[in-house]
Amino acid sequence: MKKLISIKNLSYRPTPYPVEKPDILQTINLEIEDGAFIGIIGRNGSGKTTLIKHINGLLSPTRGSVEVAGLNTSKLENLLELRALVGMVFQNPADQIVASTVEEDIAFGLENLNLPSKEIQERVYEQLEKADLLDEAKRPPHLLSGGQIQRLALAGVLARKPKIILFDEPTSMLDPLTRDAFLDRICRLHRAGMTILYITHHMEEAFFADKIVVIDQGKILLSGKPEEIFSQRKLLHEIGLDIPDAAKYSQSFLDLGLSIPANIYTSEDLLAALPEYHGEKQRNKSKSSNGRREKILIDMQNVHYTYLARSPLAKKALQGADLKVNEGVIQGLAGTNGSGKSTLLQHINGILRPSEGKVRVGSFSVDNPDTSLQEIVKKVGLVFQNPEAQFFESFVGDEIAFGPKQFEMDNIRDRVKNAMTLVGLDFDDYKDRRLETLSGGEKRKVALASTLILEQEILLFDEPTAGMDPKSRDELLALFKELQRQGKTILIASHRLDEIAEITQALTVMKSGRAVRTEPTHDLLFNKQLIKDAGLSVPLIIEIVQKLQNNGWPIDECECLGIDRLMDAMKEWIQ
Amino acid sequence: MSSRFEFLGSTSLGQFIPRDSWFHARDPRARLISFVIVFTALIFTPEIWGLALGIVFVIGLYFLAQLPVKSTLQGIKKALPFILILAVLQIFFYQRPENARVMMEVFGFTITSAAVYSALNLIFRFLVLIMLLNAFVMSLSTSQLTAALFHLLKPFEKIGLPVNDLTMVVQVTMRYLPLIAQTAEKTAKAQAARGADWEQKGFNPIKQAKRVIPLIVPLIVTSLKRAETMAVAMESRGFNAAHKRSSFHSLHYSWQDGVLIFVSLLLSSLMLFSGVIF
Repeated sequence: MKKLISIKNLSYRPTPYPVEKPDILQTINLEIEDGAFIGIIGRNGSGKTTLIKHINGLLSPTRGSVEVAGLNTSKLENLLELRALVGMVFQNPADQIVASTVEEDIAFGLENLNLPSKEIQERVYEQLEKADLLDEAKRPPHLLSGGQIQRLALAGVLARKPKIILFDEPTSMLDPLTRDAFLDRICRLHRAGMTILYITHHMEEAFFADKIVVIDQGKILLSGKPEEIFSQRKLLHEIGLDIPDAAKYSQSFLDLGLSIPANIYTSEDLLAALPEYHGEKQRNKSKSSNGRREKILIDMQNVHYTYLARSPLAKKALQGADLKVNEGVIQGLAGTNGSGKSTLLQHINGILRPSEGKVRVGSFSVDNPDTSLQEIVKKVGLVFQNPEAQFFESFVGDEIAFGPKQFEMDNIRDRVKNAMTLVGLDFDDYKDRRLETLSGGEKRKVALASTLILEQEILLFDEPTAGMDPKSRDELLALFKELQRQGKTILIASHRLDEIAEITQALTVMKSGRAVRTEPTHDLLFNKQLIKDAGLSVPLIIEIVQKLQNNGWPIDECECLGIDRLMDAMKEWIQ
Repeated sequence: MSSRFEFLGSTSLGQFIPRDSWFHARDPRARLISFVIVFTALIFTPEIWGLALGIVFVIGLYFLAQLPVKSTLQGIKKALPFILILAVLQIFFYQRPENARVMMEVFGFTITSAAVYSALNLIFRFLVLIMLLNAFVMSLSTSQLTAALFHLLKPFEKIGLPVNDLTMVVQVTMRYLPLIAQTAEKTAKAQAARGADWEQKGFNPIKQAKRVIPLIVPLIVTSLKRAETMAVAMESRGFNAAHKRSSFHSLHYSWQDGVLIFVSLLLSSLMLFSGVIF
C-alpha cells in the first residue's frame, strides 16, 4: 500500500503558552497508508484534535514535519492543494455550518474551489441526494435536527471530493439510530477507498477501524490492530480509557469459568458464543417485593408546547406528554434528539409553561403562570446539556455561588465547599482558579456543583454524559447514585439506554413529543420492539440476558441490568 | 402562552417565506434594487400623496408575492408605542411657521394644524416603511440577498473593493444572528434555573436592564468561541480570501426583471415629485 500521510518527530506547543506546561504533542511519529481507517482514542485534552489539525495544515508543527501525499503541510504554497485533498468534520455540528441555507452550505466549499456555477449546482444536488437532505435544501441550518446537520457537514466535505477525511468525535451529539447510520456511511466511504482518521470516545466505534492509535498526554502510547489494542485492558484503564463492552463482558464470562473463546470484541461475536445451560432449573425462590409506599412527586398530564408559536417557524415540541415520577427514584427519560425530552424537563422547573395541560411538582402547580419560577427553582434543579457553555463568572467559587446569592442564603462559603466536595473538586485547590483554565471534565464538575449547591429535592439532567470520556462518565454515574442515597429524586434525559439502564429504577420512553410508556427499567428494556420504534438501541446486557435465557439459563427472575448482577445470578447455577 | 425566553421569535431576520409567486421568481438583484429604490422614495417623499402611492405599491407587493399580513400586523403592534411617542413629540416640538393656524394650546405648547398634519404624515410613513421592510425579509432570503450583493458589487472588484470578504461578512452575520439568539435563550434559561429572577412582574426598567448584564459575558464568550470554530471550519473547507471564489447562484436577468425595476423607478419618481405633479 502507498504511504499517504507521514508524520515525523512532530512536536507542537502554541504561542504564547506557559513555560511550565509540556508540549501538547511530543515527538509523534506516524505513517498512514492510502485507504486506511485509523481510529484515534484518548482522554479529553490528550492532544487528539491537535494532532489531526496538523494533517490539513490548520496547525503547523513547532518541530518535526508532516507530509500529506508528498506535500509539506507547513509550506503556505501547498495549502490550497492540501485543503482540496483533506476534508474535516467537527464535533459540534452547528459550529461548522457557514451559510444560511442547506444547499448554500454545501456550495461554500465548492465556491472556494472557484468552480463554475453550473458544476457547483450539480455537485450540491448530488450530495443533497446522497445525504437525504433534498427536502431541506432551502431551510436554514439552525432548524435541522442533529443528525441532519451532521450529514450536512459531511456532505459539504464530500462535495469537494477529498482523498482524506478527518473526523473529530462526529457522533457525540447524535442519538443511536442516527449514529449507526452515520457510522455506516463512514464505513462505506472507507470501502470505496477513502482514507479516514476518526477520533472517538466510544470504543465500539473505534473497533471499526483497521488500526487504532492511543494518545495519552501528547504521546502515542499504543498503536496497532483493534484486537491488539483492546487486549491491553489494564493499560487502557490506567489512562482513563476502556475496552468495548462486549470485550469487557466476555472477560467476566471467562472469569466465571464458562467456556467461551477469548478475544471477543463485538456484540455479534459475544452473543453467538454464549454457552448453553442443561443443569437443574428448579429452585424455590421467593421474589421479594418491595413494600415501599410510592408517592408521586412529579405529575404531568397532556402537556402541549410549541416553540415560536404563531410564527412561520412554529415547531410543536410536546403533543400531549404525560409523566409521573415517584419520590426518591432515579428515572430515565429516553428518546431520540427532537423527541421532546429537553422541553419536558424545562416544564418541570417552570422555565417553560405548557400551552395546554397539567404540571404538578410536589405542591406546586407549575402550569399556573402565577406560580413563581424562583420558588419552583428552590425545589427543582436542572442541569442543561453542555452546561459549561453558560458560565458567566470568572472564578470557580463565584460561579458556584451564583445560585445561593440569588436566594440570599447564609453560609455561602460552606455551601460552596460542600458542593465542590460532592462533585470531587478540592475546595482550596479550585475555588480561586479561573474557569477558562479548567479542563473539559473539570468544567463539567463546576457546572454540576453550581446546580447541586441549591440542594433541591428534585434534580433534572439533560444528556449529562454527552462528550465525556469513559472515566468521567463512570464518575458521574456514581454521583447520581450518591445523590439518590441522599434522598433526591432524579430524572435523567438521555438517548443512551446502555448508560442509564443500570442506575435507573424506572424509564420513560419518548417519541414525537409524547411519552410512549413508563415502566420499571427492567420491564421496559425487554420490550425490544418499543425501544426500536422509538429510535433507540437495546443495551448489549439485555441482549445477553435474553440470549442466555434462550440458551436455557434459568435467570428469568434476575433483574440483571448490569454485568455484576448477571454474574451473581449465573454463579448460583454453576457448581 | 409564549415563553419569555424565546429570543429567536423576536428577530425578524430569517423569516423568509418561500412562495411560488411572480415576485419570488424575479432575479434577486432586481428585487434588491427595487426595494432600495422604493425604500429611498418612501423616506424622502415630501407629500402624503407620495406615501399613498407607496402604500399602493406595498399592497400590490403583498398581493404579488402572496405574503401573509399577520406577522406584519404583529410587527406594527410592537412598534406602535414608539411611533406614537415620536408623533406626540413631533406635535409639541414642531417648528412653527409664521403664518400657522393655531388649533389649541396645551401646557403652554402651541399646537398648529401643520404640526398635526406632519405627525400624521410621520405615523403613516413609519407604517408603510415597516410594511415594506417586512415584505423585504419575507420575500428575499438571506442567501438571495448575499448572491445579489455579490453580483451587484462584482464590477467594483476592479477598483479594489474586497467583494468576496464583504459578501462573506454579510453571509456569516446572517448565519450568526439566530445562533446568538439561541445562545441568549440558553444562557437566560440556565441562569433562571439557578435562581436568577427572570420573571416579568410589573414594570421595572432598572431591574430589566440589570438582568441583561449577566447575559452579555457568556454571549460574547460563546460568540467568540463559535467564531473561532467557524473560522477553522471555513478554513478547512478551503476559504482563503486571497484567491478567487465563484458563486453557487447563477443569476439570470430577464425582461420581466426589467419591468419590475422600471415600475419601481416610475413609482418612486412619482412619489418623490408628487408635490410638483399634484
